[in-house]
Amino acid sequence: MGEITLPKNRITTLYPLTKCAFSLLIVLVAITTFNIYGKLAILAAINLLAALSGVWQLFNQRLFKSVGILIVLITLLQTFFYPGHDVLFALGRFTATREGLTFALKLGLNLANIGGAIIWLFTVTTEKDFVLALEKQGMSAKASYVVLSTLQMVPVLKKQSQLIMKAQSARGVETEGNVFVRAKAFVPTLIPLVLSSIQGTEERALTLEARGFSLDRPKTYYYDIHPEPRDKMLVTATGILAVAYVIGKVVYWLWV
Amino acid sequence: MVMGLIDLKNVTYTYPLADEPSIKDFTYSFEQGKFYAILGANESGKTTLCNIIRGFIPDFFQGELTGEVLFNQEPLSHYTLSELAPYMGYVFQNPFNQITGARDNVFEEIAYGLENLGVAKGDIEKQVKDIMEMTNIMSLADKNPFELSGGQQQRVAFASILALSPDIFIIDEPTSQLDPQESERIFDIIHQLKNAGKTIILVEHKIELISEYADEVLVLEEGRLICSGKKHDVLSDISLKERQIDLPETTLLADALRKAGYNIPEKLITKEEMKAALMAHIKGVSQ
Amino acid sequence: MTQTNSQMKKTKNTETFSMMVILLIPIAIAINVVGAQLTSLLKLPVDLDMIGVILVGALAGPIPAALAGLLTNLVNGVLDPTWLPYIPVAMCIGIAAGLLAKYNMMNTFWKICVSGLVIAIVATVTATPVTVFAFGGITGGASSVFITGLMASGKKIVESVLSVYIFTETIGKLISVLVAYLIIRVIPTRTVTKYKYGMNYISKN
Repeated sequence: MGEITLPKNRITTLYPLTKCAFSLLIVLVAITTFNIYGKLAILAAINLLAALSGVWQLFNQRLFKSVGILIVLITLLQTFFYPGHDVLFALGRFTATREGLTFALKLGLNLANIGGAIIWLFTVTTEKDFVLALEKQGMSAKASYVVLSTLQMVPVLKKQSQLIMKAQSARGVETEGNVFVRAKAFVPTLIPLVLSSIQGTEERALTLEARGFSLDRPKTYYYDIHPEPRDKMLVTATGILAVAYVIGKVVYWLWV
Repeated sequence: MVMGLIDLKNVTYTYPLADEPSIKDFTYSFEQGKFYAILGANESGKTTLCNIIRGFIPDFFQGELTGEVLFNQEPLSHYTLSELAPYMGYVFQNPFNQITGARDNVFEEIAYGLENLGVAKGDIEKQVKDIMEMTNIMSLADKNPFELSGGQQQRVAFASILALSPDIFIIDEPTSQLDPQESERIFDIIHQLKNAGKTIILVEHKIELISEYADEVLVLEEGRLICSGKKHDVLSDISLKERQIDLPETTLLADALRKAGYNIPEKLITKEEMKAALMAHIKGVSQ
Repeated sequence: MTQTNSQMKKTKNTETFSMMVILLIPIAIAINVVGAQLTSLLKLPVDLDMIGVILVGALAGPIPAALAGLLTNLVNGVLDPTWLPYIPVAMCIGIAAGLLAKYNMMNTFWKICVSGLVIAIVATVTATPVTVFAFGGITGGASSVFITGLMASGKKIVESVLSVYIFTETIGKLISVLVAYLIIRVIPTRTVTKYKYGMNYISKN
């Protein structure tokens, strides 16, 4: 997340909420498009957007890691196990059906499209910027603290858990073997980790008070971002497009 | 009784679910611009006392507090914890717990308190830079505070409070994870703060540094104030040794010399003073 | 100002979002993430990724726990959007755990078992439709192997998912509640009592 430096271009430097509006529009179109070619077109559009943002490769890596493998799995399994009659081919006692394949492809493309829209958003937007934009939009400072410190705590605790795991296995706690043996390693790894971090909450709570966390007065944002005129324009345009799309879709349904 | 900056009158405090009070009938007046050192064995109530002075007790820790705690002659309970932030800085023992988690680089971590106070951006920039230079952490500016060593985190925590420029500094063992050189630097900064008119209340085990820099010393034992006053009066009191209080080398040496029959002046506590006394003695002998 | 302040201070522990709760939530989310990581590292066949949410519920009640659930899935969802459809599930687990804590259902062994069962039922009922409609039954998670097996034997998707979830969720949530309880028992008393329902876990002797 933080380690990768974003390329600075006309898309990545947009205000987070502008990019969020794009992403939401894509999700809207994705969940209301039922035609398989339509879905493919959306996937192509997201890829084009990722390419224009200069993050095509990273985007696809992330897409593959999160939903890619799942899509492959779904396609394989549903093709064989989804109820259907139109047999494509048989493998032993299992038969691949056209219904299954179509179901799998539609489902897979949905996952790729909706997942893709979100992954694109957070590939071109840092979480820090996103949270800051939400805070400036009126989200409470407490809520934004919770999110920001979560983003910091997760890697810290992950790292500590790996250290504890190593120490445990060095001390002879089994982390391999049958399921009960492995399950027994779970608690002694998790508990010390949690304990040390929860014990620290008192001091951290007071640390925050000592830095004026609960003060009810306008704050300064040392690191700051601002929407520019083009952001306003783009969000408005996206909004109009979304409304037009919904109206068009409804009219189309009523007519056809 | 003279009214000070912070006055505690007959303060007794018991933690929730505790059987016995942690601070017993404590009365003291802390004056503006002085450097107070608090000594005592483990569990003698040093940190509890600091928490009372900062208002964390009883507000956050609950429990039962009797007696009066006044800040500028006004009850401390009139302020919320955050409202006191610009007046009273507090540096805790554990460095890791003092990383707020709100910011992902050291510069912004130090700026965080000033942001909450609504200080103008340009002033924040200057203030944070000055403080980072003072505490020798300029090179850490872009690092993630969670990825620092304990000693580095300790300096960042101290810098974060310095940045707020409060009138009173309550500091609980700020050098526990620092090497002698860095500890000396922290004490040097504390000394500068005192010279700038700040009030310092410090819990610290490094007795030699205290004998050199502090003005007054308070000694706690099982929650009671057993001894207090000018550092030369307190730290030269050899009877404190029996009560498990660390005393400066000079005090111990002076005591040993006196017992051996040498005529050593009273109330020596620093190495410099001992050196001067010994030089005078040797001169006297050679004449 | 003086009056209201001192009154506010008196009620601090029972505030829904006290400082202690605000600081607990990030840790709880990290516990969820580490729990998920550990289950996959130790190749355990149940999901133990809601321990933190249950912990928040047990200590601070339903609303903070629901928030912890929401944020867990959002934070994970940024990199892996398959977490996002399960947001209502995580929130319901949090609400259930919080309500159980409110009625003091988490401090003895048999109560923990009942709580585990209740949370398992809530999780199964809410997760099944998500798994069926958003993923057609296969999520790639630990339970997918069994679900696929049942589907292969000719069972309907809903049926397969439901029958597997009842089983895996019961075990998973029983363990999760138990671990959350063990965590509470090792946290120092003075810290535990700073949470709304903390006193429930202090043995009076």
